[in-house]
Amino acid sequence: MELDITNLEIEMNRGFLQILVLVALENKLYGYKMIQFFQQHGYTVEESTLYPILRRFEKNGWVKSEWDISAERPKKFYIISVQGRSVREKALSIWNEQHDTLKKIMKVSYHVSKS
Amino acid sequence: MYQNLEDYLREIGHHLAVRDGADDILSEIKSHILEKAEVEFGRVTEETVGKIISTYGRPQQVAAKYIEGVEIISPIFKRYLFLYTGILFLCHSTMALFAYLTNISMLSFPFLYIPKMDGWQIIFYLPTAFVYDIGLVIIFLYFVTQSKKEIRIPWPKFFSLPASRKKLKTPKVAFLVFLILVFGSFLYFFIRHGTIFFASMNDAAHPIPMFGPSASFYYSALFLAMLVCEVVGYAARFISQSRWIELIKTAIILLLLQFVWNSPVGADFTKIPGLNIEQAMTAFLLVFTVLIAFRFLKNIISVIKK
Repeated sequence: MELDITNLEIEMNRGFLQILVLVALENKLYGYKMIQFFQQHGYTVEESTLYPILRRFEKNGWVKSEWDISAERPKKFYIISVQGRSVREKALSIWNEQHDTLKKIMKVSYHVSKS
Repeated sequence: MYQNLEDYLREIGHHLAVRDGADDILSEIKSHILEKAEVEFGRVTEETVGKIISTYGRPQQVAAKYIEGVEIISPIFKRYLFLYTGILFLCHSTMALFAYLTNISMLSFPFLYIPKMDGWQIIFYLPTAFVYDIGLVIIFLYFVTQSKKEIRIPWPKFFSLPASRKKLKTPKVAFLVFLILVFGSFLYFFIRHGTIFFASMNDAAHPIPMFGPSASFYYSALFLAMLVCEVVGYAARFISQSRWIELIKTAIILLLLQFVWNSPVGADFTKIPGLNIEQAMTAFLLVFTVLIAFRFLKNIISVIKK
């Protein structure tokens, strides 16, 4: 039987995607471009998931947005704000700490289980 | 503009419960779908737009993602919803039963109005009352949730019967004998004087009855019937300690009380200077009815819980 970890994956991705967005928005991007950018680096994200996150970040003041209406089709561009940068630093430090903790625990646990 | 895209955006907009910026959200989705159709299929047509829409998600789901984390009522209030509705409905039902028994209408400002009603009307009234009560509790919990403050709502434990009390206590022979003696005494008075209600017993041989002859017989017979219920109900507990016994007993007593409140016989109270027998009896009957109605509803809850 194939192991169904869809829910777990969704939960894990939720936090990861938020960090990813804050990192990617160091440069000015619009939604579709961001999705393509992530895809180029091996990460697939659903558009219906990305846009609500962008909106929430904008509401929190973590990103700024503006509509570019110069082209034939208007596009909404986003870029990280000063506040967003400090949020990103905190989020990255949490993520790094979690990663280190996981590695340490894995090391001990696997060592105990083998002995 | 593409009709399928228009319809899709309209549907999302319909479910999009955001305070502001709905147009902005829809414009962004529209721009995304059009660009994706062009990039992936090289042209934007009704058909290619339709293909992109089908992968974007169902309108309801798309809209829901924008209001994730926004609670109408906090999930931590789930148990409160049921408990508070139960308590409110218990009060509401008791008052409705009382209104039915006494044939009067009541207003408990500002929430509850209970009209006087007959047997059929109360059957239809109670489900309506339940819907009203649950609605009232939902409104209350909604405002508590929306206040975003840490409000501690009381959790009354009175209605949560411990497991040991879900069954009736084991009866005692002595108490049954006592009940039979009480019943026997009242029966004796009833047979000898035609009543069990006396205004004065100063002269033991000729006590003064509380009501006229026909009312004396009517009310005494009803109260004796209630006593029989008590005795039989208590005796039945030697066989089974089920809460059903209490439920049936209180239901029958309530029915008998209904005949007391809606008596076809004029009470014709004996007049005694300095004592208003009618008021005293009405007050007694009122308290007694409320107590029995309360026991009845509590037994219903116990039976349902089991």
